[in-house]
Amino acid sequence: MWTKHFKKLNCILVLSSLFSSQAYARDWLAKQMFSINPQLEIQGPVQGTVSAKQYKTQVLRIILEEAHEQAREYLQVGDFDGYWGFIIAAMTVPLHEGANIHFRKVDNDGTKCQERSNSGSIFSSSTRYSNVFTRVFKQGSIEALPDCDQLSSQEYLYQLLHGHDGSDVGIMQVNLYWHERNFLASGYWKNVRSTIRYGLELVKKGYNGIYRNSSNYSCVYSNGALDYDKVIRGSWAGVYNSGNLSASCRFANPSSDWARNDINFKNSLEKIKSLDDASSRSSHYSVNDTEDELLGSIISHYKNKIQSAAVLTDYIINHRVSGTDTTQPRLDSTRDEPVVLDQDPIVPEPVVRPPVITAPRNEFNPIRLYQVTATTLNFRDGPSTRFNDCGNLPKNTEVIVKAVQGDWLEIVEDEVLAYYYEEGNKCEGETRFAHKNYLIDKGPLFDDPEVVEADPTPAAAVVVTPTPAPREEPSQPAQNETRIQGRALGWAKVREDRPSGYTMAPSTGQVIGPAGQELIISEVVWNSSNSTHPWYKIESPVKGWVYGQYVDITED
Amino acid sequence: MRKKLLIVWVIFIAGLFAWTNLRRQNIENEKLQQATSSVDSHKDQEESSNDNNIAVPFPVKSIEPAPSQMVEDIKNVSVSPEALIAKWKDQPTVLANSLIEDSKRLSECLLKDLCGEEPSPDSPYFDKNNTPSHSLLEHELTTLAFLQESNSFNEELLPKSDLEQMLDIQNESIQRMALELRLSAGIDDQAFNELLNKTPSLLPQASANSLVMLSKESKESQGRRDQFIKTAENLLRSNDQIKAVEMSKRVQYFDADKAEIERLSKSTCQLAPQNKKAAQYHLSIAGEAVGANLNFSCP
Repeated sequence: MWTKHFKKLNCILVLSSLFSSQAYARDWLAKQMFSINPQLEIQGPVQGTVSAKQYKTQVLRIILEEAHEQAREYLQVGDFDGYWGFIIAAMTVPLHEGANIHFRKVDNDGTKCQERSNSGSIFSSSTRYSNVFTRVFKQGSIEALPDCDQLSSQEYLYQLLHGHDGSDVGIMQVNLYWHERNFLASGYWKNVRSTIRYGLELVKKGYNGIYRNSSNYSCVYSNGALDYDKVIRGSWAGVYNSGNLSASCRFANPSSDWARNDINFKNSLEKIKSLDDASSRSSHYSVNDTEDELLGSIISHYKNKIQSAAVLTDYIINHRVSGTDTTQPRLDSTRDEPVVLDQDPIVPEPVVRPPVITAPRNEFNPIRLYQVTATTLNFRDGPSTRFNDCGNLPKNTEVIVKAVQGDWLEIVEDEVLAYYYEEGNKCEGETRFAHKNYLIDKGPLFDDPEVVEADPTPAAAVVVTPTPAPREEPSQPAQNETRIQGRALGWAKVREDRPSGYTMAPSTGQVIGPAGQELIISEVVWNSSNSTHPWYKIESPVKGWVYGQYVDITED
Repeated sequence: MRKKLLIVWVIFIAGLFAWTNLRRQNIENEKLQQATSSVDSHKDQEESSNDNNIAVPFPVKSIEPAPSQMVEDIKNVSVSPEALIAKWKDQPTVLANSLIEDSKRLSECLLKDLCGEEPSPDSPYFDKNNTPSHSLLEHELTTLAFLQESNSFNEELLPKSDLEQMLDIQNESIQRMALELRLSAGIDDQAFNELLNKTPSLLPQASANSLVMLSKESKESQGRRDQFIKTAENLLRSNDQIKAVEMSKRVQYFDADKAEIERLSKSTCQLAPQNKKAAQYHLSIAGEAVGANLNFSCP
């Protein structure tokens, strides 16, 4: 991610190897690969296992999904400029750092495994790197990067990209020394999506750091207005390449020691920005037809500051790309000796959350019962605080909910709701909404006997995956929302999010418990390859994430 | 003539390369010496140490001495908190004591000189707020939080003053975990005031999270609550506008009433447009829970 002066020269060579068919360029790439133990499980797209176009499409898909997740906070509040700025930054960094390559599969012709890389001798001049390399890649139940002579009988090899001196790895060129704990030890490097997510979190740290305090960074203004190209360049030059937010304006200093790095990054950004031109896409970023059109639209939205994100959110909802989270078949089938299984495999979690803004209306079938947790919850005539306030629902009121739209639940108009209308309200229409943060899911209401009969198992009476009504939204797929029932095994803290690496998300100040308390869970995520329990996203009786050690699943 | 020049040039480049390598090795050797001479030496532990700067010898003062393997495991971030706890499940108190002692050592050396970590002349990258020693300290605090949550040790063991000292380390995660552990041991009026006063100087997420965690305690008296809301207002007016946005995201956890949210909404006017949009959105959503309809009229 962040090494030496001539690193970016190297980066260009990597780029050229991707886009050129010349043999000498491919050789450069071969020297920048660790060869992976065939017993190790890896997840995500692997270059060389599908067509080049399909591979690039898969990687782009992951980048866009993860970028969208990181940029939600801008979109949520209607800040489209901030949103598109981050999406462009997120597309530029992996192209610049790793030419969108993380893993590749090659014929093992005897020249592909680089002894210098796999033995760790590439780090001979640095104890700090060789120590990390040994701990992460040479120790453990499976030696992740064995010496080349141990791989000589393999017909094929999976390989992992590294920088010219071995210190940075993968599509985001994450540095071994600085990211041992949260990136390497957690096993994120074995998963393309986790690697991209990890790198984009760092990009976001730089981007948000400048964006929120832009008045402190005069270098990101042009003619008195915020220049998003410069915010993107600053976010790379600062946190990503320097590890230091206050170095964000480095890119504006042509005599800086690292000016060459910043110019090369600018070139990568220009390459991304040129993708609104079809010929540029076909030469620099050739992807499948749908994504090709999307790329053009994304750049056009960014350049023209279009105040909508529907083009990307619709794509994320309505299109799928196969193979983005595949566990790759292991390459050790020819071996005679018994295979040592990695005891804690990473469980990928390609959860696509419903995008904010322009969110489709997803109807619950059957309808569900919710309970108010707020002191006095507003209900409105539309799914936003800009709509009219109709009245207030007191704490513990139970309401029936028939649909969800973004962060808002659509409440059934019944006698309960009718009771709580405020006198003189200016409410219009017939649909009523309340914010989902303050309503907990109490489960489905089976008022249609056919629904119950449709599933003979008793568990189905409680555990339901709400699906959108096809007649209402014919173009929308089923919302990927799960409902699992569980019980608390004791008191446990609730957190805002799942961990990043081993870093815990902030506590919400709420807890689950005591033991036996019923829980409704909507998401299960295995955080790392070393986890002994998953993390659960709790929907009821509180909202947030709880570590699996304190939860017992009763029905799913 | 050209040939001679070329030879001189090649010799010069080779010399420069050799000199750079030697210099790098010298720097690393110096760091090794610095790290090893700065603490009491325990020969066996020193031999098992891995890194130059973070794996300095480990002062063991627990009532029951920690086995050397435990010490080694604690210093290895490749061993996850869960795995560490599972491995030493029969000695939770010894493990907790060892973690407490080593976290104190790390905290002190980070505040003193970043535990010897220095920028490399060969790389632009140097994150002085997130060095491997910071990572190790966070790892240890996270393990302690896991132990604390599963009631595996007596919370009285947690050294409050050491945890408060860790709030001076400019690392978001360390500040958050130290706060969590500090609050799990309970707080009195004095500690409440001290932590609240400290809150604005914490990093953005940690300051917002500090308010979330102090929210319940603030309800104990009107005086405490007034101070609490005043601190929240100050954060919204902070020069570091990330703090304002991060705090506004968490107002929904403050258990604030309508008047308090309306009061906070008046402190958003001076924010930059992109931050005002965010803060006002989050306050509006928090307002939904108390029947508020905020209008954010700014002069």
